[in-house]
Amino acid sequence: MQHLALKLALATAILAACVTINVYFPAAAVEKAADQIIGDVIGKPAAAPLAPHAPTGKNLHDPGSNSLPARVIVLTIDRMLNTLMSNADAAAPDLEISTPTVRQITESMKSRHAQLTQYYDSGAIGYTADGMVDIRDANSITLAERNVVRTLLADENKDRAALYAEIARANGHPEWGADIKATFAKRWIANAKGGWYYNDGSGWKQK
Amino acid sequence: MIRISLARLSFLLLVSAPLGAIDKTTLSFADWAGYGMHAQGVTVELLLANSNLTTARVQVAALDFGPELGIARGVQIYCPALEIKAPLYRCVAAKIHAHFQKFGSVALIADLGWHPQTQTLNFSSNAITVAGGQIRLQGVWRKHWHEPLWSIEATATNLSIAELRKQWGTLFRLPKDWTLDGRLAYAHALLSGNKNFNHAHIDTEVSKFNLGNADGTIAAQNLQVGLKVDAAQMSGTWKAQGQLTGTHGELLISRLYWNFSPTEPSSTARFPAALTADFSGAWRNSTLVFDRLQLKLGQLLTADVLANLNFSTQSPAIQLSAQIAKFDLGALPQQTRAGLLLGTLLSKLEGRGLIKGQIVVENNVPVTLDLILQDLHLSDHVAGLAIGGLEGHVIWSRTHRTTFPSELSWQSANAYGIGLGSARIRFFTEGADFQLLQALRIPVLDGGLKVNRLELQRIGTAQMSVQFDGVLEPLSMPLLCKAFGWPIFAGSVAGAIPQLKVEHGRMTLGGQLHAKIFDGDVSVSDLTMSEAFGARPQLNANIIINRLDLAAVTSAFSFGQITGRLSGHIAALHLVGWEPTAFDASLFSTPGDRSKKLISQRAVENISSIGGGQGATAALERGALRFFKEFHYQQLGLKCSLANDVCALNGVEPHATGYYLVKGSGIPRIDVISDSRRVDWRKLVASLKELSNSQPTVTSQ
Repeated sequence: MQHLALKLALATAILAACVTINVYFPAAAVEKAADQIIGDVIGKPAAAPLAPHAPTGKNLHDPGSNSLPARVIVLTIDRMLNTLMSNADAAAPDLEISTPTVRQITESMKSRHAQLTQYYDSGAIGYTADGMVDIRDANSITLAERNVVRTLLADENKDRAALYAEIARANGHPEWGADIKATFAKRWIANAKGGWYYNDGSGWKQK
Repeated sequence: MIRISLARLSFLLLVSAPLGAIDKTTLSFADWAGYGMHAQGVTVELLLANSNLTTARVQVAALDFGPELGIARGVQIYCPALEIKAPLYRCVAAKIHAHFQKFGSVALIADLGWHPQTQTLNFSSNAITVAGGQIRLQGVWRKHWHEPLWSIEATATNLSIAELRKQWGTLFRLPKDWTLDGRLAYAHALLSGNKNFNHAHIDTEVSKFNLGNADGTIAAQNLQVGLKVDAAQMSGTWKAQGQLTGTHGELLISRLYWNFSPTEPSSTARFPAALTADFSGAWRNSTLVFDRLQLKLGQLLTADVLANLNFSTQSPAIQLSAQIAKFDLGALPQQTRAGLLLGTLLSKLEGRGLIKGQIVVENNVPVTLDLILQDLHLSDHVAGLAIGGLEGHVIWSRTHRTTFPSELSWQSANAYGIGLGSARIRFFTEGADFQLLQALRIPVLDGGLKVNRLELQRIGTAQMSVQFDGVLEPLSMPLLCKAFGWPIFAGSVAGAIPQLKVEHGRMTLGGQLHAKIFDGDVSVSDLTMSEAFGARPQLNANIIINRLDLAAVTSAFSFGQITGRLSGHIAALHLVGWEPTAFDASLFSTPGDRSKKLISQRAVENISSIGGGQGATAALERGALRFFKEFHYQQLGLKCSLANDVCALNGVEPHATGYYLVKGSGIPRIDVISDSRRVDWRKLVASLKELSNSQPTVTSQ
């Protein structure tokens, strides 16, 4: 019996030693931050959040052994850690978006949005699947305005790229840049006004 | 195969007509050639009505008019009344039908005439309704010294271009997803030749012309264009001269936009923004050569161009030499400017002034520039840059160092709010390289920036390199303060900049800048700047402060009087859009300073407010303290680590309840102690600006 207890303790210790804890991408917090910024830019209350997130981290465990007792322990630890992480996620602190750079970029985008609104409304431009803005129908823009709109879009996309990178940097995870961009892409579309166009990767659609 | 000439045919008609007894004559021949035409499968059917009036029907399986008009098939000519009045044969209101490969089916009614003695065939159609408009055609074929001579004259009015495209689509070599419409308001074409087509006179006017490709990068809207051309062909070479005019509408070709009839014209001229292109040139072997192209585009541009455009490859190869008599920046409309500057560092650049000179382009790439700038005034409000009274001569070659240097001078300039004085610069250019020829001094804020050496290689590439040697001669601190909107204080800034490096858009200044302010020294090192021309320039630096006279500092900033000396540093300073976003600052009484250290009540109150204290004023006004306007102190100091708009605070020495901002000495002794560890940076800046009165924890002994 003592041997069994010893083995179990040893197995647990080994399993515990094998646990890898990932830093989860805080999808819910980024969504919340995105909605806040987007609402500020386009002057609109934040859209309803997406469905609850499945944790995006993967390897909380290393099953190692297929023996039943070990698997039970692994599953238990996995469940415990998942619960902890879920709770942590639910109670995740807000993402840091109050840096001066984020504030400056947001102000810049907000001021530009006033000029872009008419083109969103007319369907000349729309949101893209990569969190940017693009021309959907150049022919609906007068010739005189076409280069002006292109300049606005170039400036807007530059600001957006800087915004995503700055949020990642301000939160100490530059590697989150791509995930932040992807999250924003979804939230821009979710927050788009009715009638605006977006391209989710399968072509332009009207909201 | 029977080969028969038209003369022979006329003989047959002549001999058969008087016979009278023949009711019907049918002539068939497989092949016929003449007058630059070639017919196959020809059947001529004559029905005698009376002695000199005959009904005729001609059918031609294929009639080749030559390369310009192409082949017509199924040609049918029905002549209801062939008048034979020697020497003239005439057919009034002949019905003609043919199917051209190039133009599709053509049906018309025309008068035909044949004069056997002069071997002349006349043709004159009535008005043909085509594409909502009308076309009249006239033609003459005759022989001259055994050579055929022919001419066709076409007059068209009010044709729909969209309809023309539907009917004669092959003439419009446009992709299907391009839109095209408008009116061919008027067209007169006189084409003539012998065996070959060798002369053309065209006078045409297109109105309400609209064109657009699918992605909107090429478009014309409501254009009104006129074209007059006289062209002649000799030995396979077409030579032409003419004039192209554009008086109304808008045109967009990629980033180049022009409105020929702006609603707010900049001049009282009838067509202030019209295009006029007078040209003469030649076309041979898929190459268009302009030996004269005089361009005038509104008030913007006047130029003489020699050009060679080779269309033998998929994208035309252009060689040109343009002599620009006038390029008036002030006449460049905002929409046109936006397109030209799209994607450049100075995309919001605007200005006025004249440019003259010469541009040479080889294989679509500029290879030399020789430009004279006259009184240019340029500014980019986003980048915060401006220059006025810019004049000079710029010579550039893509491939080699120019024989003569370029020279520019300006009357005034401005960078980020700092005014720069007039200066003259001489330099050489070669491709993407730049070399300053002689030392340059730019007056700045009562001082100057002296540039002894400036060389740039591979400008605009990731491998760009810079060699720089410059000196900042003492700049007036009061003027610098004024430029930045700071409180005015005395002093100067100077320094040597032995090195300047540019990598991936990031500029790094070697050396140190030294400021002599408040009777102390401030040195700035590790200065880097990125996005210098963007809306949010980013600047990094390390600053060391040594022995500032606090009495001078506090009087300049109306902070309340403090005497003593202040030293410290601001490390890892990071500014975005000229706003601090991060730094690690530590400012404290200079160690070993033996000067008198006094602090006024007001200064105590203000330092207290930095520490987040409340009610300092009330504490100072209580009891005996109120009789003292200033207090001795042992040392004072403040540390602030700024990150994400939060300043993590600390003082000169720990205290049981926090830290000392001011550690007093003597009697009455006053200590300013704060327990605030984190303060909102923006509120702190706002409160410093307002110098609000708030009370810290003030202890007196």
